Amino acid sequence: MSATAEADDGAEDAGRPSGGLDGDDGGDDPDFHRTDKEITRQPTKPGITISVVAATTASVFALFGGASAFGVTMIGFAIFGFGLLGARRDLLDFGALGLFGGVAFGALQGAPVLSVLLGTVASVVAWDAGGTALSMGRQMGRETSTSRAETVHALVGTAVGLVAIGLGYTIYRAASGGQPMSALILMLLAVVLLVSGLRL
Amino acid sequence: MSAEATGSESGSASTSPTDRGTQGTTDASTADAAEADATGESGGNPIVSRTDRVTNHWRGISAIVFLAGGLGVLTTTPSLLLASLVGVGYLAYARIGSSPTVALSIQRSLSETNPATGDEVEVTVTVRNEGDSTLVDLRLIDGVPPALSVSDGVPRLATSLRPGASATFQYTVLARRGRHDFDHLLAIARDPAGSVESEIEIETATTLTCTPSLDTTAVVPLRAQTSQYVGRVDTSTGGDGVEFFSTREYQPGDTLSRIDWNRYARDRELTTIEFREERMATVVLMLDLRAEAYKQAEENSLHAVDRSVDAAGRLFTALLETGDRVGIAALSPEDVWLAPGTGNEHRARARELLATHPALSPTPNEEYFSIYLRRRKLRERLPADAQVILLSPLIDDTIARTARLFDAHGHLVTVISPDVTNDDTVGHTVARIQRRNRISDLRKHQVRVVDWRRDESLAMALERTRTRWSQ
Repeated sequence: MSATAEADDGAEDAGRPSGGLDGDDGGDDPDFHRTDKEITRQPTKPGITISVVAATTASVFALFGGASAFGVTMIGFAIFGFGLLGARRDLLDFGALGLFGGVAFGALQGAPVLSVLLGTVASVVAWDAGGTALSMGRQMGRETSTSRAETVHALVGTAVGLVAIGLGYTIYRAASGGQPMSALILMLLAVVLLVSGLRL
Repeated sequence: MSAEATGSESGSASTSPTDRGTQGTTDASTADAAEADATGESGGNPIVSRTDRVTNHWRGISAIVFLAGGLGVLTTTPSLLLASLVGVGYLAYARIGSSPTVALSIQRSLSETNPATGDEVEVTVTVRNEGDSTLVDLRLIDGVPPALSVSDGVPRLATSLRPGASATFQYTVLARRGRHDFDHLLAIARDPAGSVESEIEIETATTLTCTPSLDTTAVVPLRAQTSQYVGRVDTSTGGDGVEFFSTREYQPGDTLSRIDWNRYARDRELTTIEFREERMATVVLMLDLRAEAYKQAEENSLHAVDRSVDAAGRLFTALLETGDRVGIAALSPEDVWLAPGTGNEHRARARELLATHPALSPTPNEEYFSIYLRRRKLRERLPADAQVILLSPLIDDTIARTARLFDAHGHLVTVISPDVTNDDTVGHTVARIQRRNRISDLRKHQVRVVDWRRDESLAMALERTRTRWSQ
């Protein structure tokens, strides 16, 4: 009698005779320990918290642009939330665009300059933190302590936005005596050229 | 993130301490006990491999620039133009990032480097930034050996480290038999904006060695199959010994000291007293190492092979101490054979075999082998007077049949069966019932079975079962 014939008569029909079969899921995958079974590959909680706080801030600033601007932001917020909780990068992108769309719509309605700028920064920070939460969750899992990395990352991102506001707003204030619009457009062009220079 | 590799700048390995020079120096300090500390002028442990890639984290930021900029120009709204400027600021932020310089020194320490099977070992990893720049987004994944499972804590950490700062994370692994080398630590470092990331494998050297304990805690009940030498196993024949066995009619040649003089005084008949003979047994511990035997009741518990090997170690020493001859064999793709013997050298050989033999690895060997041929080969090797202690979870009928065949071929068999069945699902319950049926079937065929429950020590299981046996 061959070994296979013998082996087949017993436990085969009993399904899986014992809980975790060590060999079944671990054996053939050399990177098994890296992709450990208990990893929950979902967006991390600190990242979700940061981006929700930032998105809420963006909505608050959108309120300066009136109810309709706030409405647009809320739609963006909803999509953003789905993207964040469902780990969908595309929804996250569209949601963040919705957040900013609300802020921009408010600007068209004549919202104060500062609220538009701060709303822009808040929606960018929300998008940035959300994206980090997604990638962090994918690479490290939800169980891992990630708050320090994500907080520092979000703070640096916020600081960059605030510095950009500071520079832009100062120039705007300084130039508003003369020809604000053309000055601004020229400045924008100059900066875009400068940044594309950075790319090289 | 897409795994698109950045072109020429990604090759800027000069920013990282991949220099060969440092590698040699740190290699020397690879101690068994876990510490590979920072040496070399670059600081940090040697880097094994480095992959740089762009993360596309900021892809889409230009949408804000152009949406705001376009609307702003069309409607001549200064606030939108300024918002576009903010977008440009972020665009610049995302662009200026380059792959970060990573120099980390890693210390991994174990609460115990030589644990016993089933012990929980706490692993503490301390990572120190030896470079000159702050690592804003540093993700660390420890290379836990494949056979060890993490029972508590997380072997990963995401943090940010200033130069000279260090971070620590802790987790607990369940020690399994064998030698386990920790893998390289994987670090993923992103630049502050998160647009470029470097995946770096950092060399560390930590080994956890878990040898099965050879302490004698159990009294091993043996069956009445013995060799010709004097030992401790009671036989059912009379002769020299300690315990009274029987009296028989005097035969010429019996020693005077064995004659029952009391009886002679009473009725003038010469009788000879016989004592129970005690003999040495030859035992072969047979391990069930087929892939089927690598079953565990639940995650984070020891599988049947681990428990069997641990038990084999204990039985081996216990039997050696009682003066029996013990050997080791296995039903496995690879040949495992230690002929029955005695003495300290034999014990050392067994210890080494149980700890390091590749066939006894904690992960199953799926290679096909014919259990029929293996059985036949073992039968040829077994000394005629050897009895067999089979260590198997009795997970299928093949092994039960094997036990009966050895028994039928004149080697009395005792099965010590670690119970790994469960009753959480219908399938598991069926398997549990089948195993119980196998046990009672074996018992019906005069094969002794020790059902070793999960929450029980081996000594307890042996003691509990022994009370059922009436010699």
